[in-house]
Amino acid sequence: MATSNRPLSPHLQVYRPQITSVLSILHRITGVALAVGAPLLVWWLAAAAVGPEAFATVRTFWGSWFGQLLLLGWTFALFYHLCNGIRHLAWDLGYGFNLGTATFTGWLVVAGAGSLTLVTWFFAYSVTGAIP
Amino acid sequence: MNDAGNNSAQGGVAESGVSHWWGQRLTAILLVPLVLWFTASFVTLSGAGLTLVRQWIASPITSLFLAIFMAALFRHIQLGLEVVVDDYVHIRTRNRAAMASIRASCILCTVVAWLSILVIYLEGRG
Amino acid sequence: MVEFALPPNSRIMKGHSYSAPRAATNTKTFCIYRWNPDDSDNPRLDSYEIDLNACGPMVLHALIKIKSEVDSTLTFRRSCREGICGSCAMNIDGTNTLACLKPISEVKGEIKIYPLPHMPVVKDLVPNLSEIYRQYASITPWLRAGAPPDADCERLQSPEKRAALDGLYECVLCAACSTACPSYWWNGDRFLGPAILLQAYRWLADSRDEAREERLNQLDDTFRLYRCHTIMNCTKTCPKNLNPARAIAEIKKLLLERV
Repeated sequence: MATSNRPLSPHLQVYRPQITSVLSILHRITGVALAVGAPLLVWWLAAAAVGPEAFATVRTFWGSWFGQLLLLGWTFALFYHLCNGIRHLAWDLGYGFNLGTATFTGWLVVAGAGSLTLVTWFFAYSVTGAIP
Repeated sequence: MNDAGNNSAQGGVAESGVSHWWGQRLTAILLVPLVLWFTASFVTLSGAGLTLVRQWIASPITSLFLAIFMAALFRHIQLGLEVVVDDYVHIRTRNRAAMASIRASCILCTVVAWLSILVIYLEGRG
Repeated sequence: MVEFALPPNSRIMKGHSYSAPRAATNTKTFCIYRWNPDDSDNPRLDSYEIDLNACGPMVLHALIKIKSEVDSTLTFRRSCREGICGSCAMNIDGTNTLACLKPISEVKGEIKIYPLPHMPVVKDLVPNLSEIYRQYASITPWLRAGAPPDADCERLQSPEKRAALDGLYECVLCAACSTACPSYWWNGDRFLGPAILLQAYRWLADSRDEAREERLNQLDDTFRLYRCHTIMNCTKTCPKNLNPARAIAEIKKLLLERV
């Protein structure tokens, strides 16, 4: 019997997404997004070191609607990755593996990240006008 | 045991797993308070001019925390991206190339951040 | 780069449809993955309409009914029909489970049945599990102890120490968890996967075993163990309600103690 032409059974195409697996891939996506954003933080620091013109360029970029949209996305990514990271650390200590607990902490992380994002932006706009 | 030979045939770092994993956790633990502190400061500094920002960075505590934050952040990013690359990039040469560029970028970012902090700190003294 | 799509020879085509007898009033449609190694066609999805009033309550009952009454070429593994042999593991309604433990009534609408995911298919719902068995052998799944026990005496274990094996020894090696794991999909050639890692922990947790250091040395590898990113599909899908994700976390804790 030929074995070389055996098909590969379907996987991603048919496997039902679970709250746990969706949040897991979201952890990776937000992590990569934050990695892409982190050099811009260095740009901000470097501009502050170089002088007023460089710093003004940074602020103009972040003040634009595109910059603000990026910052909003990164704020959520940051808080999600942070909250879910703490969930991961608890797992690493051996806690939270019951299915009910893992589902509950998953939703808790989503709610926590969402509200921290809202609070941050509410604070930024009401107290200081905008980020940065 | 049997699949030890596979490591040399394919891409991917064949190293002790626990050290890589522990490094990622250690930087994560370090980053929890640092991220909260930095985000709060960054938002509070919103709208502040360059003078105020430099003043904030130039304080000894801030510059020290910032330097640690940047190092931990980019180390965590490096370790995290390495895991992603090992998961998905199996062609040995591409795997190695991706690993090298991740490492170089993270070191570069850390160095530039440190230099900037140092410049602002020294100018703040002088 | 890992292939997230199916290779051309694995893409699923539309298949045949078989209707239930005219008189049937309570019917359910089963869409089943079919692939025959003896022709050169791609896999296809055949749909069978079944009279539930003339069928047992579990998905396995429906499969057996189809094989005996509609299409005898339908191929699948089954033996004990009570969740202890682990043979009838397959992907039913989007998650892996044992067909004999899955009530038909749990699925709304038509029931889609595929072989265990991301495996080479031998025929229809039968995947080739050789790689998993090879990985199982690699963790030396037996008691490794130097000196034989005293004559006329077994290796003794206190009830407490025996209790450490609860939640581990019950595994029937059906491979539902490993084939539910995305990490195992992308790195199954080097990552041991949840089923085998749960077994690895079963021997680490056994107070009578004396090879703990060697076992841990073997597991301390970025691929064999640390491709696990606690995605939790394994625990979610285990038909025996075991927790491979927790077992893997316990292995990571044991390795950390040695740092």
